[in-house]
Amino acid sequence: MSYIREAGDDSEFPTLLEIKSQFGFVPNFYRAQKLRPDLIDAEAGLVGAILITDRALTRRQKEYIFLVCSADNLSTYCVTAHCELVRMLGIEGPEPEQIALDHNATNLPGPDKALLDFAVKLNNHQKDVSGTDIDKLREQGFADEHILETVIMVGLAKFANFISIGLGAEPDFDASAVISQLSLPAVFSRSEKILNPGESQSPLIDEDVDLVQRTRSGGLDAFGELVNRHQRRIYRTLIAVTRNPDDAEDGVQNVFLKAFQHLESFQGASKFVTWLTRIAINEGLERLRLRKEVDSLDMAGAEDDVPFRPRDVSEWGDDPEQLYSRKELRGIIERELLRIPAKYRVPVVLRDLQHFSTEETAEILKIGVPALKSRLLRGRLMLREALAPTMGRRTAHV
Amino acid sequence: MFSCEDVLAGLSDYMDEELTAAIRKQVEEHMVHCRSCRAVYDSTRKTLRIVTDTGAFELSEEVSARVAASIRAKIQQKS
Repeated sequence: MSYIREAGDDSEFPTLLEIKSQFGFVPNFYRAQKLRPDLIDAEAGLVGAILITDRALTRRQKEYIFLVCSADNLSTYCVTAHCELVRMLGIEGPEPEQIALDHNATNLPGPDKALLDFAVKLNNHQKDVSGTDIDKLREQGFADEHILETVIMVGLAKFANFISIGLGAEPDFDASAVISQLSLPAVFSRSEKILNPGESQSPLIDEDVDLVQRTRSGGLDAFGELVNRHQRRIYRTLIAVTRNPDDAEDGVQNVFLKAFQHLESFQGASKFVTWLTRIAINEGLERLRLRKEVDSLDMAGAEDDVPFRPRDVSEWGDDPEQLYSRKELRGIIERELLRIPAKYRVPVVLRDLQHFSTEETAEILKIGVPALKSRLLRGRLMLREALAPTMGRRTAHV
Repeated sequence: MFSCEDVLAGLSDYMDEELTAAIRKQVEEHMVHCRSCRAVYDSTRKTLRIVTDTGAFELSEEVSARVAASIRAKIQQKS
């Protein structure tokens, strides 16, 4: 239920019994902290004073501040728990999930939206906060007491978010309502990260460093592990460049042999897999040159100056992928991806199939981030356009 | 007020959450009222979801084992 061990029986902790009487169970957020009942007591006191006691802000405003900050901090636990809490408290207003996903798309009153905009700014763009923001809140009718409570609520949300994330508290409130929101017409990408917190695209730590070190010390098994770990990724990269499965299969061997041979030149300035993928791109380009193919990654086209305009703007169903088996879908995606020019195809494969970050993808392709973003946008739109005839609702042209 | 062209230009960044809060808000405000931008956004998002969930260009277990064995053999030969 969390990353660390839980100590003792619930009945030994009066605060936990009190919490249990409110919810009918002891939430994992508190269970995860049972090694220090004194801290649970202190936190319960803090929550009581800041969130539960009504002074300037209403409970509703405070819960909404908590929700938007938790969503911004990607705390699945806190979002799901407080969506449920808002319902349990019978707070009237928009669905709490919608507040978490995008409070500006709700019918909340203007001042409340301004309050939540400020909370999100303070939560995530602290360095941009200035006295002007406070003046704007005053213009919306908020007194200093409201502003003080808002700032403290943002702090409380961050406090709780980081505890839940750091301790790995598993959501134990009903998350299905949040999930159901994915079928809303305008779902914002923030929600997908909330629901897939494990899918971080760029871990800050290079998990290959140890295997690289062991390989350098003569560990052939360690290098075998690196091969097993990355060969699928390298194969995909090579297909993306060469469009040829045989070239890709041969290329995988060459890439790893070159990596092994030149391992000393890997300085750790980038992640090992980024370095390895760059070798794969070069291997693929070399194969294209040998075949005298012109589908180059840098080939300038007249279309570069003109923004890509989607032609098919029909709406898609909620789950268009349900129309096909997984095998069929994979066939469609592979076929359509390979029809896109390499210049746009390779960024999409690296970014969306391999899940490299924008910066890593730019680094692998040796281009600047703005150029990468422009190619990525065009590649994604081209793929969407190509899939539209099979995925779109043909009756819903606009 | 953002035009459809502005929204389209920022679509990728919007999906990657790489827009500033102010621009993100403009994009969202435009999409509330523009059905065709909303459709393009929604279908592009679904495209990427399908790509992520379905995968593509998988290396089969058989080929993967063969390639790994071949790499190992070639390294051993050289050393």
